[in-house]
Amino acid sequence: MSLPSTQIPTIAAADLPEPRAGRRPVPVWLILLLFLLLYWAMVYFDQRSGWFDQNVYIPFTSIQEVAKFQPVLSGADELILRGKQLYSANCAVCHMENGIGNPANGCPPLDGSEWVLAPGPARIIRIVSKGLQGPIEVKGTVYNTGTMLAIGDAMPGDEKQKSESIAAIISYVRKTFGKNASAVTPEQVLKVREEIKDHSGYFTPDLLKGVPETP
Amino acid sequence: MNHGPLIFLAAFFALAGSWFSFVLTPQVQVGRLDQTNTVPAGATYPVSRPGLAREGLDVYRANGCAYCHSQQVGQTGVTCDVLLTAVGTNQPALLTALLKVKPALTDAEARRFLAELPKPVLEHVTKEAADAAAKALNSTGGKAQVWIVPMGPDIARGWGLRRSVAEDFLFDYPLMLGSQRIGPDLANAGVRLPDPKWHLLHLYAPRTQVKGSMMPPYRFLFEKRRIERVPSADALVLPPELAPESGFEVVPKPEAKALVGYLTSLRADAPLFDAPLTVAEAAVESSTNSVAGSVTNSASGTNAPVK
Repeated sequence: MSLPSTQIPTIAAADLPEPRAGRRPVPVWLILLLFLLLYWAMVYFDQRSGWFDQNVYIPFTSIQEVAKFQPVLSGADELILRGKQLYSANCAVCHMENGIGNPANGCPPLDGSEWVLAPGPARIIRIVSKGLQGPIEVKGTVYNTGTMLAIGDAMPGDEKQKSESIAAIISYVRKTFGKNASAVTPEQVLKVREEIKDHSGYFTPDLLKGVPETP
Repeated sequence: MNHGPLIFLAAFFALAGSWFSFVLTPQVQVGRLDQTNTVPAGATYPVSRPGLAREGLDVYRANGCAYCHSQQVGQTGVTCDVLLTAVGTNQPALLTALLKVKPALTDAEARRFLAELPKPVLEHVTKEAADAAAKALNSTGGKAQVWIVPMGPDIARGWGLRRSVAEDFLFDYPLMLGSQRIGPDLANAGVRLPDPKWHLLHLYAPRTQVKGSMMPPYRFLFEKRRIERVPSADALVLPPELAPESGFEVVPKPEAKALVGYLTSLRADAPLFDAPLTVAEAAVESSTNSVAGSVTNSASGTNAPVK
């Protein structure tokens, strides 16, 4: 009591009770500002987020806009491209991406093959639709051991979709390996498939030779 | 402190909020990203980098290349060009249509224009305008295509054809995105500078290849050694002031070769669904062929996703 409190403020402060936060209401303008911010954020989100789709990047703001800017091909190019994809998935295992075939496994080449180069697609449609078995002569060599499965019949979808897939494959094969031989339309394929719909089992080269090349 | 729980809750929600938006959301968005197909060619993209290039990524990282070089191309917009490729059979009708699409042309200019195909009719227009123009030209039997052309400062600098997207980095770990651009962006270094010899010389003596370059030389990636019997095929061809004394040669160490392998493998220019772009048809063909070839070699040709 003898010392004035100003000389030892630390002790005096230590005696004070811990400060307590009061309850002042949040100002109305702050609440309004927060709601305004929230509204702006919602509008921004709605207009520019693309709903967090992984395919939407700036400068695009929605998946519809991205879709709008996809490059398009003309119909014929699209058929060839689709054929290329189907060929890679179904045919390239044996015939190879570059069409040289796999003679060691009895799989004939497509590149320059007279069956591919044929003036009309009647025979190749049959082969792709129902498969092939038996010795086949290609470019002067007889290939014997392999069996080609009925790739065309195994295509997904109904008869019309199957025909489109087969037309795509054959168009691609004839364009790429057949020195730009003419493309095949789905209608041509559908017509041939109608003729052979009762055929069971694989085609053989002898059977095929009985079919005229141009349908 | 009489509001302890409240302060705890506030801190918790602030941290949880940032975790949610900066960790969880990106994970949901691109965490399971897989290979995709180029559009419209349908080739698999991306294919993983060859082994040497993968090693080069570590050299790139160890030497801090990412401190000065970014690997991300930005894009601010997308426009369309209309390219006329063929006249078709009805030239007078096409001429009329062309004059309607391009009113600034005189009749004689339009005739000369048709003689110089393929040539862009309209450049940097909206999709709607391009579609309308292409339709008008095609309806006369001519062949017009709409080209999708990404725009932006980075693209104008020639650093890429389109913006970078997540797929570009699918097989890279860690990502060398970089944030500084003291040197140029390298997202498409392999497209712009495909020559490994150029890169080796540039690493050894940057200013011999780029005038005024401020890149430091990385000579410790090279070795000066005595020529034994025959000079090495890898030896650098250096200008006289940098060439070693006679009887010696400068050859790249394996690190330098790996780094150059990595740099030349940097190609992020495939047209994808999320980064649409039109490329020339020849380019589509060659890119699909090369990619298809490499996929077959890695014995997964049949697993290539087909759209």
